[in-house]
Amino acid sequence: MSSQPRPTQRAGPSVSTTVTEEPPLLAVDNLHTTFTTERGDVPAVDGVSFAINEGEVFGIVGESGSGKSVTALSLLGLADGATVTADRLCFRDEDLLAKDEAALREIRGNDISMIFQDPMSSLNPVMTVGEQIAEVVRHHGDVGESQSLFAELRRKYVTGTSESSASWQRAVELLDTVGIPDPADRANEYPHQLSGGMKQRVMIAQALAGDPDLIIADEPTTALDVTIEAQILNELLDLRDEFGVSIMLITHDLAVVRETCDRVAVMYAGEMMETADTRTLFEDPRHPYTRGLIDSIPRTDDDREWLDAIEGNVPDPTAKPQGCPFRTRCDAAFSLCEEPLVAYSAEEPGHRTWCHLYNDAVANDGDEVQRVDDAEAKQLIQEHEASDDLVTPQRPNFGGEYR
Amino acid sequence: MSSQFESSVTDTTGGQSAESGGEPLLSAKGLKKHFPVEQSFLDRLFGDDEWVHAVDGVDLTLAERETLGVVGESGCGKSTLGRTLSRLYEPTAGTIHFDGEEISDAEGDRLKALRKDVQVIFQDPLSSLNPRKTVGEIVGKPLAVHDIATGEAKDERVAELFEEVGLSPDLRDRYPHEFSGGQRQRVGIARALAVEPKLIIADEPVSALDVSVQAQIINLMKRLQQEYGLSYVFIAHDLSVVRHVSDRIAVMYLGKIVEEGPTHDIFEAPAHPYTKSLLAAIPSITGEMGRRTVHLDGNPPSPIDPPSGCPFHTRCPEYIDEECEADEPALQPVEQSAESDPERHRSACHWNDRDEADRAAQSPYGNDVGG
Repeated sequence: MSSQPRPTQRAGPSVSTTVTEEPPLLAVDNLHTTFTTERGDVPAVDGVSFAINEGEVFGIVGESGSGKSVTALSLLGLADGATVTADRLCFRDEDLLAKDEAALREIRGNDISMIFQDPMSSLNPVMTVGEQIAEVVRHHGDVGESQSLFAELRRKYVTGTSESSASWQRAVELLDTVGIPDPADRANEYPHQLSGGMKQRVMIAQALAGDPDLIIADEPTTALDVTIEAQILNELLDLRDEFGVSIMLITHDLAVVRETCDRVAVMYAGEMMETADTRTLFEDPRHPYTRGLIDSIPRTDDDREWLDAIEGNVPDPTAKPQGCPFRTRCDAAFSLCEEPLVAYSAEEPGHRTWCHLYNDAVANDGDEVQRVDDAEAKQLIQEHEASDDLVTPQRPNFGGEYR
Repeated sequence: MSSQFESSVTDTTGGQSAESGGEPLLSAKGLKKHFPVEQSFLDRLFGDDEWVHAVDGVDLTLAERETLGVVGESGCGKSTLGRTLSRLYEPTAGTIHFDGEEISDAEGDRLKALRKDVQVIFQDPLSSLNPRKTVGEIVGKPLAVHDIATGEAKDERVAELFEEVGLSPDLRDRYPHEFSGGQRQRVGIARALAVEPKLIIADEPVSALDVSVQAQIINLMKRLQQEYGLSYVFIAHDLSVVRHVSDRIAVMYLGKIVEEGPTHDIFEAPAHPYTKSLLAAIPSITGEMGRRTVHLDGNPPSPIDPPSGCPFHTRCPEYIDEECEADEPALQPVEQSAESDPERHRSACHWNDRDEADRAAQSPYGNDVGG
C-alpha cells in the first residue's frame, strides 16, 4: 500500500475548529500493524492515515475487527507482539516510532492517556479508586512526592496514601471534576462499590491525572445504558471545552460519533474507507460502506419494514480480498475494486474516500472527482463493464448467507 | 393493578393479529421472581431475609403473531422476566397462562412439552452453544429430544433449518468457534426453530452484533415470524431496535412495568416520565446534531430494597409530591393523547390523575415529547 499514489489534497485542518497552519497534534500516515500468528500474518491495521488537531474530538468508527482499537494501541506502543510501521507517526512533531520504551512511558499518561471499554477490568479491584488515581498523579503529575519503589511499596502495603498528601488531594479534585458526588468519600471506595457509570468516570479522572493533551477513549460507553452513556459523553465534551484536551473516540456506534465528534474516520478490515467532518459524513456519505452502515441502523423516525442490511460478513483478516476489503459485500463492486485502494478527495476539504467509484476512469469530469450517486454509479459501471479495458470480476459467492 | 388488567385483558390481544381475537397466546398476572441474597449465618439465624425483587408484579399479554418488546436499563429485570415466562425460572408468585393452559407450576412431562412450544434465543450465541458439538449436532439435538426426527430425516431437517436461517448446510460439521457472531446467532435461531415453537423469547438477540449484521438478524427474525406465525417476546435495551420489531412495548423499571402500549403510542406519546427519559436518551443518527440532553441522573436504586411508592420517584424529573413516595401508582389507561388508544396504552404514574397543564409547566420535556 505504501507505494500507492498519495492523494493530491492532504487531509486539511478540521473544518469545525479554527483553520490554522499549525501542525496537527497527532499525525498518522500509512500506519501498518501486523500480527504474526500460526495461521499467517494478520494485517490488523493496513495503511491508515489521519490527523488529530488540538482541541478536536476525532472519531474512529468501525465494526469489530476493523482495526480501530489496534490503531490506538499502535500509537502508544502497546500493540504487543505486533510489527508497527508507518511513514509518519508523530505527536507534536516527535516521532513516536523512534522512541524507546522509557520515553514512550513518559508520553503515555503525561501527553496521551487512554480510557478502555470495560472499567472493571482496567481498575485494580483491591485498591481504592483514590489510591489508584493518586498513584498516576505521582507518576505523571507534578506534586513532588517520592515515587521511588520503596515509597510506593510502603504506601501500597503499609500506610496507604495520606489523605493530606498533595497526590490524594489532587485525586479527590479529579473525581470532583468528572462529576462524582462526595468525591472525598468516594475516593476511599473500591471499584466494586461503584456503578458502571461511576467506574467509567473514575477511569476518566485517572486519564486526566497526567494532564494529557490527547485522550484516547476506546469504546468508553459501550458497556453502559443509554442514559449513563449520554452523561459520560457529555462529561468528555465538557473536559474538551474546559481543558482543550483532544479526544480520539473509538466506537462502533455512528450515533455516538454524530453527537460527539468533530471529524470522523470510517474503518473496515484494517483500512480507511472514508474520512470527513462529521456533518459531511452524515449528509453526504460517499463510500458504499458508510452508506450501508448508516442505512442498516434502525432509526426512531423511520417506518421501514426491512432494514437495509449489508449482506455477508467481515472478511477473515488472514485472507483479506485483494484490493478493496469491502468489495465482497459491496453492491457497487466492479473491476477496479481489485486494485489497491487510493484516497479520492471530494470538494469538501478533508473529505476523502477510499473507493474506486470516485476514480477518474469512472467519473471523469474535469479536474475534480465528481460525486456519483448510486444510480449514476451503476450506470457508469455498466458502461465500463461493456468496454474492453475494465473487466468485471466474478461476484464472490456469499456461501448461502442471508437471502 | 389487577382489576385494571382484567377489564382490558380481552382488548389487549391486538397487534397485527387482532383478527385472531379471543385468548392471548401468553398472559402473566402478578408475576414475581425474587432471588435470595447470599446471607451470612447470623443473618439467617435472626431471620434477616434479603431478596432481590428482580420481577415484582408484572401483568402482560401477548397475542399470536405479535411481538412484545420489553425495554429498560440493565438490572430492571427484563431478562429475568423472559426466563420466568419461558419457565427457565420458577416464578415466586403469580400465574402464567400459555395457549390456554396454566404453566406456572408445570413440571416433568408438561414442562418438556412446553419447551417444544416456547423457545429462547440468548444474547451471547457463543456461550449458549456447546463448543464441543458441531453446529449440525446442536441444531439437531432438539429434534432428537422431542422425538421429532431421527436418522436421515433429522439430517434433512437440519439442512432445511440451515437454509432457512441463511447458512449453507455445508457448514454443519463445523464448530461454533469457527463462525462469526452473526452466523452463531443464526445457529441459535435455527436451534430454536427446530421444534417449530409458537413463541420465541429473544433476550438481547442482537446487542452483541455489529450494526450491519444486526440488521441482517433483525430482518431474518421478522421474515421467520411471517413464515412460521411466531410470537416474540423481544427483550432489548436498544429502543430503536425494539421500535423496529415490536407491535407493542412494555417499559420496565425495577421489576415492574411502568408503561405499556402499542409501539407507535409509546414513541409518539410517551406517558411515563421514565419512558420520556429513555426516549430522550436515545442517540440518534437523524435530527439535530450535538449533545443529548438527559434529565435522568444516577442509577436505578437497588432491587433489594426498592423505594416506597412509585419505584421511579427517586430519579423522576417530573416528581409531584409526597404521593409519589407514599402510593404506588397503578397501571391505568392513558388519556392524554388523542392518537393513543387508552385501552391499550397504559402507564403507572400519578400524573394520570392530575392536570396535564401543570405537568407540562413542570416537566423538563415540556409538552412535546417523543416522536
